[in-house]
Parts: sequence; C-alpha cells; structure tokens
Amino acid sequence: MQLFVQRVFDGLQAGAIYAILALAIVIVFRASGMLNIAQGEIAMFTTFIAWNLFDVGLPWWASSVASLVIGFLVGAVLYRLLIVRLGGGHASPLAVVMVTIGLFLMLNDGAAVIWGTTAKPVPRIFGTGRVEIFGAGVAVQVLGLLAVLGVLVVVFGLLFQRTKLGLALRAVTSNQESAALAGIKVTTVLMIGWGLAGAIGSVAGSFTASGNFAVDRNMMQIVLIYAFAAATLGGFDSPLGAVLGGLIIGLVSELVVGYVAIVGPDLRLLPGFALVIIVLLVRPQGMFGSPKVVRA
Amino acid sequence: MSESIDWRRALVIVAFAIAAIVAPQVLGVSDVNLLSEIIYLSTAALALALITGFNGQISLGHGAFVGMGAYITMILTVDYNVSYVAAGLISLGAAFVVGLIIGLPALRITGVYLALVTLALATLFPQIVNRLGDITGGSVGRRLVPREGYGDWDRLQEVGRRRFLSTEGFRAPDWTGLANDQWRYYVFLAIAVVVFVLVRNLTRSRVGRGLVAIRDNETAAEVAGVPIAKYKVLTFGISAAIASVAGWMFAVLNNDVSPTSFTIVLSITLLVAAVLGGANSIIGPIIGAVVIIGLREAVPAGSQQYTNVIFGIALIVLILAAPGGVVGIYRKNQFKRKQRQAVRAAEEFKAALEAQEATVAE
Repeated sequence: MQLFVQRVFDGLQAGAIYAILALAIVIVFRASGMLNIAQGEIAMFTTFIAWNLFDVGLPWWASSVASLVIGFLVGAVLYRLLIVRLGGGHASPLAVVMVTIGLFLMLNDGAAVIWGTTAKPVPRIFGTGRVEIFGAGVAVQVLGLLAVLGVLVVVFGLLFQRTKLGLALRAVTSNQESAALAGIKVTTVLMIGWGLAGAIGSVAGSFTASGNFAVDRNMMQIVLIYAFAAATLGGFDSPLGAVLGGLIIGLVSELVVGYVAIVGPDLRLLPGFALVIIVLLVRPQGMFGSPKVVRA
Repeated sequence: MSESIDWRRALVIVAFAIAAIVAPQVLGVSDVNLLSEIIYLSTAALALALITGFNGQISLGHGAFVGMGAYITMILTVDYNVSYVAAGLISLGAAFVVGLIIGLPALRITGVYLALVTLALATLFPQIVNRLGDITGGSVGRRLVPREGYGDWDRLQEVGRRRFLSTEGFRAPDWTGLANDQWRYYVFLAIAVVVFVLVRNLTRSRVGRGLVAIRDNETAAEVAGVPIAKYKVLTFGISAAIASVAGWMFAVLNNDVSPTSFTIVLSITLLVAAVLGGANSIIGPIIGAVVIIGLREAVPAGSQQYTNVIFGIALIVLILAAPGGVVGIYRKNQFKRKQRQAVRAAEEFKAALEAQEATVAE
C-alpha cells in the first residue's frame, strides 16, 4: 500500500507538469489552430530568465511568479513578430511545424549561447518538507504542484467562460472571419492567447526545474512529448481534457513501469503512447475533443 | 518548346555527374567521407520529401526508420555473418513492412496529429534500443565488430575480431584498385542514383499524381478516384524503406551504431533538410543535405552552439519568405522568366501582325 501510494503521487507529480504544459499547448491550438512544437523550449527559456532573477537574490518562488509575466511577454512577442506572418488559420500545417521547429532549435541553442551548457541549480518551490499519507512520505512540493494545477484550471476556466476576453478568444477559435466582422481585434486576441500559453508554460518550466533541482536547456523536451501525448489523449481543443490527459499519462506511465516488469524503466514512454494511439484509433478527436467536421 | 531538350539543364546535370565521379580521386579521405555523409543525408531526406513534400503526411519520426536500417544491418553483418548486400535488402524489406504498419493508423490520424504520433515514434526508438540492450548494445551502442559467442565464431577467431573490419568488413574488392573510402563513396553514389531516379519516376507517374492530389485536397482526390488509403499506406512503406537504405549507409559509413545517433534530433534534421531544399522536389533533399552538413563544417568546433541558432533563424526566415524552399525560389524565377518570354513573344507577334495589316491596308 505504501509503495502504491508513493507511485501514485510520483505519477501525479509527473502528470501535473505534463498537464500544465498541455494546457499551454491547447490554449495556442484553440486560439490559433496551431501546434507549437517550441512551447516547451519557450518555457525553458523563460525559466532561465527566472533563474537570472533568482541569481541576483530573489527567492525561487518569487522568480517563478515573475516568470509568469516573462512567459506572457515571450509568447506574445513571438506571436506578434513571427507567427502572425504565417497567415492565421489558413497557414499550412507544414509551415507551422517548420517555423516552430525553427524556434525550437533557435531557443534551445540560444540558451546555450546565453547561459552556457551547464545546468543552473535551483531549490524546490515549496521547500523539501514531507507529509505522511497512508504511510507514504509525500513531498510538500507535489501537493503544492497539484494545488497550482487546480488553481490554473479554475482561473482559466473562469477566464474562458466568464470574461469578455474569454468570449473573444472563443469567438476567434470558432471562426476568425466572423469574429473580425463582429469587431474583435483578432491579432490582439491571438497575441494574448499566445502570451497566456507562454505564461502557463513558464509554470511547467519552473516546476520541472525545481523537480530536477536545476534549470537545464534540455529539460523540457521529454515533458513536451508527454504534454503532446496528454493533449492528444484529452482532445486538442479541450483544456479540461488536456489536464486529465496529463494526469492519466503520468499515472499510467508510473504504475505500468513500476508493476509490469517487461516494460521496465527503459520503455517509460511506451504505456502512455500505447494509450494515446488506442484512444486516437477509437476516437480521433481524443477523449473530450469535439469531432472535426470537414467540408470539401 | 517544352518537347525540346533543355540544353542548359542537361549541361548542369552532366557537369555534376562528372564532378561526382571525379571528386573522390582528387579529395582526401575525410572529404570523401564527408561527401558520403552528404549522400546518406540526401537519401534519408528524400524519404521525407516523398512522404511530406509529395504526399503531405508530416513525419517527425523518420529517424527511427533510419535507425532501424542501421541496427538491422549492424546486427546481421556482425552477429550472423550476413553479407552487406543481403543485410541491406533485409533491412529494406523490414522497414517497408514496419512502415506499412505505422502507416495504417496514419489513415485515421492526419495533419498535426500524425506529426505528433511520428514524433512519439522518434522518441520511443532509442528507448526500444535500450530495452533490447542484449543485441543492440544498449545506450553505448556497438561498433561493427562481432562480440564473443555470436555468428560464425570460429571463422572470426581465425580472422581476429579487431581486424574484422579491415579484412571482412566493407572494403573495396581488389579488382577495383580503389581505397576503401573511395569504394564506399561510389557504392553510396550508385545506390543513391538508383533511389533518386526511382522516386523521380514514381512522382511523375499516375501514382505520383495521385499522391500530390491527396496532399492538395483529399476529398477531391477521392472523388477523382484516387485510392487514398492504399496510396497513403504505400507511401509510408516506401518512404520507410528509403530511410532504411540511408540507415544502411549510416552503419557502413560510421562502423558504429548507437541510440544517440537516432534521436528526435535526426528526425527533425531530416524534415529540415527536405523542407529547406524544397520538399516537393527531387533535388531539394540534396540541397538541404549540402546546406546542413556545409553549415556544420563551416562553424568552428568551439562554437557549435551557434549552429542551431543560425539554423533556426534561417529556417524561420525561409518558411516565411519562401515556403517552397530553395527549389521553390528557383521555380518561381523560372516561371517569371518564361512569363516574360511569353509576353515578349506575344508583343513581337502583335507588332508583326500590325505591320502586316499596315502593308495590306496600303
């Protein structure tokens, strides 16, 4: 029982980070219909900037909060400078994939140019304390992370459903032309969407760094893969699906790796992806996604 | 006009062919190997051009097929004493079958979703290699030197394990009088020419037009009678087979196969190579491979971290300015030139006609 509880919380810890990055990916996808392969690297870059703040004397939790603002700016600026030129909802998927791969390469090696290739040590955001649950020692950090995820879900749920901005974002998602005709400034709204994704991504970045006790320029790549899996599992246009998808993938990976000897730690990615492919074959739109209707 | 031979084009092709044949005779070993590496990367990028450029299925996982080709070649030649030719053919067949199997879910999973699933394939590949560490050598990888207890061990003992490569490995037959690196280069070149010509013919055939039709508008293609499912799955298989040929080249060229060579980075590099040169063209992959390897060689060893920064920026600028890649720019210019020619010809004709009318009126 103790081991099981331990594994569940390990799974939730990993899963919550996937969920947060998946949330960022889904927001970009919902707003602009684009898949941002560089989302993880944007988060890594933001976390390095947060490390600079930490380095000059700010506490790590405060730097992480500041990185929300930095992430927003990075996301918004990238949209305004680059992505907007791809031509909105009519951009070809290949062009979007290539430009975000370009960003990925640029940011990943850019971080090496700016901050060097050695990892920068950082502490845990919520300290190193432990709480006993069912006999297993669970880190306060994990509980804090789950709480942050909960807050993010509530805040973004309210933002999307209860505010003018949320309404504008949903209108742009549903039909850019109609939204523009209704007087919504599409470019500004999309810029805010990319900014919000950058901000959420920065949370995933801070927690990944603090889980590893270091900011490393390659830390977000594997998280990105899992986050994509989470978003695919939950449905690319469903924030709630992304969050549940992330938690499910984290749990399934941890438990299968822990209890099924054939899979073992070497094939950590396999269970999650097997799940994703099965779900995609049965429901191509994911668990909570809305089916895409194509008109010729 | 279009039926006549384009002499300028023919001249360029002949010049390149002569250069490709003469090059290993005048260059040193490391430069010849660099050229071999360009051929390897071009072939791998061609696999991607076929599936992504012509058929519109974005794959971020072809590094896995390249890796498969390399691993099968390594294991068969080293552990089972299979000849290089047979190992190449077996890995080609295996990759084709695996490509078909991966292509099946791709029928339902399209666009960005496919990019993601193939991305998963690329990330999963090194993990599978690690899991099968007994035969693959795990995370360290293996050189193309047999381990104890494998294959025709008595024969290998006789030859000496360490000397296996230079005596039994991939080396030039005596009758050629070539050094090993030159022989390898010519073999690569011959294989690549065959593969490129086959793909060129494929893309210009009825099937090829079907592939492009699927890319441009799947519904319209279906209405026009293109068997979408069959073509898409087949493209996946063929493309995977081509990638495995490149993998064979990798194993033969490097004599060393390890999972770090076949990570997601390779898959991304291949896609970039194809798109950079122009994904819906046959020579695009070659241009892309030359640019990628050229850039890597041009950046000094101490500042490799700048390579991808330059690369990323170049990629973004290229996609925003010229989505068709280098070949796209060329085609646009050709089109404009022909347009100007046509306009000029029409004007001359009109002038002549008016002059004629004038004389008739007189």
